[in-house]
Amino acid sequence: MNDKGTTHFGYEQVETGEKAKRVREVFDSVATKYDLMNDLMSLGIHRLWKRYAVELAGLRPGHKVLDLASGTGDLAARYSGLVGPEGLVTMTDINAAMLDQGRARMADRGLIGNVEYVQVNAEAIPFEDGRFDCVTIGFGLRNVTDKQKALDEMFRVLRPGGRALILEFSHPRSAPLKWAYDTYSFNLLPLIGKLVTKDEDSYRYLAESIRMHPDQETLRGMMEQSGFERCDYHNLTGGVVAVHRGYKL
Amino acid sequence: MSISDLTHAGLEQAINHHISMDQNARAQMAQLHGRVIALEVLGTGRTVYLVPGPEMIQLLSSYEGEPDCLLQGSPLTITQLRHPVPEGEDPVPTDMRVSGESELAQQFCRILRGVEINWEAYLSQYTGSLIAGEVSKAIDFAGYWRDHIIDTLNRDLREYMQEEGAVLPTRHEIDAFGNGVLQLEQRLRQLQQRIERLTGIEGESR
Ligand SMILES: C[S@@+](CC[C@H](N)C(=O)[O-])C[C@H]1O[C@@H](n2cnc3c(N)ncnc32)[C@H](O)[C@@H]1O
Repeated sequence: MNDKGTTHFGYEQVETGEKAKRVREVFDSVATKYDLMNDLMSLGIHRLWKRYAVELAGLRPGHKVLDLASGTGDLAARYSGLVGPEGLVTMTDINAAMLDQGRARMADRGLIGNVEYVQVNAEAIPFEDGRFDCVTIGFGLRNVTDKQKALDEMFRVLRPGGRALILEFSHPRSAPLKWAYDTYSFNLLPLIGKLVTKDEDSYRYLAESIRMHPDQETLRGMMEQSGFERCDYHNLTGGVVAVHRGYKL
Repeated sequence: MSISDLTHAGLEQAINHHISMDQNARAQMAQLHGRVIALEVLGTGRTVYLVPGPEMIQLLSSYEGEPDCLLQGSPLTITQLRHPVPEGEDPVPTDMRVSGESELAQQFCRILRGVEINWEAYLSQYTGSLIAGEVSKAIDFAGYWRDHIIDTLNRDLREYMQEEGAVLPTRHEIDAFGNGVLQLEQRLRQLQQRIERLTGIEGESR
């Protein structure tokens, strides 16, 4: 982001307001095929990544969790199991179509008692300070226009002692892995997009947005800037993905 | 990610697979929603935390709170959980130590006994030596990546792994990822060719 109010959309520069609209379009166009694509995109490994992140959340029965950019709710479904009937999972997304899809999937899974659904932009979270034990965002932060603002908001709605988790594609640390990953994301991903959803551009955008996302250390610095303490990150699959964690103390 | 994360993911999937096909087990599991059962595999220093829920059971490698009950058993004792017991008989294996809520332990063991799990396969990953070949056999990630990527890449990878002090699990994930990329590429090429053929044929017949 720069002063003239432009920001990245993949590798293109666009006006800030325009980006939010374009990001929405990307997900509107793929919402229904999202789950299938999700598996293809990360070859099923995303399930392992998500399991790992969920462990780091340290959830216990009775906890209140806010999941931002929930999409169809893979993380939220796990949280719902862990916080028990007395806990509450607030499942959110900026995109109403995606949230509807997510709500339907959660109902299919029999998860109804302890989940609520709210349309939320991560940059302006409509909840009071200190409400949640845990706030998470999985594969969503890279789509957010003003990431720092989203981190500030995540910090604000956490109770003292609470923690935030960010699961996001990151920067692989080895040359061969980078190679495999580049082949995959720049050649295969758009091709899948073309074949399955007939929407090559959306998937090219995904690949590009992954590259533009801040690397591990930069993101940790940004978390500290928002006030998080004891920040750390865990590289998964050699840094293809990282889980960042920070506490509000 | 450690080897036990991968093991737990596999075991979790196996249990959930069985439960998803068994209405009754699913309903019983749902009743234990949010309860936490710790299972310590004696002699291995490993404990896995099991959290049942309405949709699935989740297995965690660590838990920050207090479990509601703790089951302790040797690998041999745990493998007894694969045999169903008649109604009215104690479903907790004889040699298993239980602390905390014993009723929960019983309910839970009864559910597990209804589920067909190859416990040996999972437990061997705790007890067996962690040799790459064995591990990949056990978790069934084919050596495709190793066989198909040129040697230099492999060497780089090995060096990287050593340099990072990273051990097998990371190697494992990278194998799985590389393997997936190659398979996916192949599948996509075939799909693309098929589409091209089909659209070509369509064009000709018009
Ligand atoms: C790749 S999906 C991730 C879904 C889910 N968390 C998962 O891990 O499977 C990204 C989601 O981010 C949402 N999103 C994009 N910008 C957002 C924003 N500013 N605030 C909240 N959600 C946003 C999109 O609508 C989309 O559903």
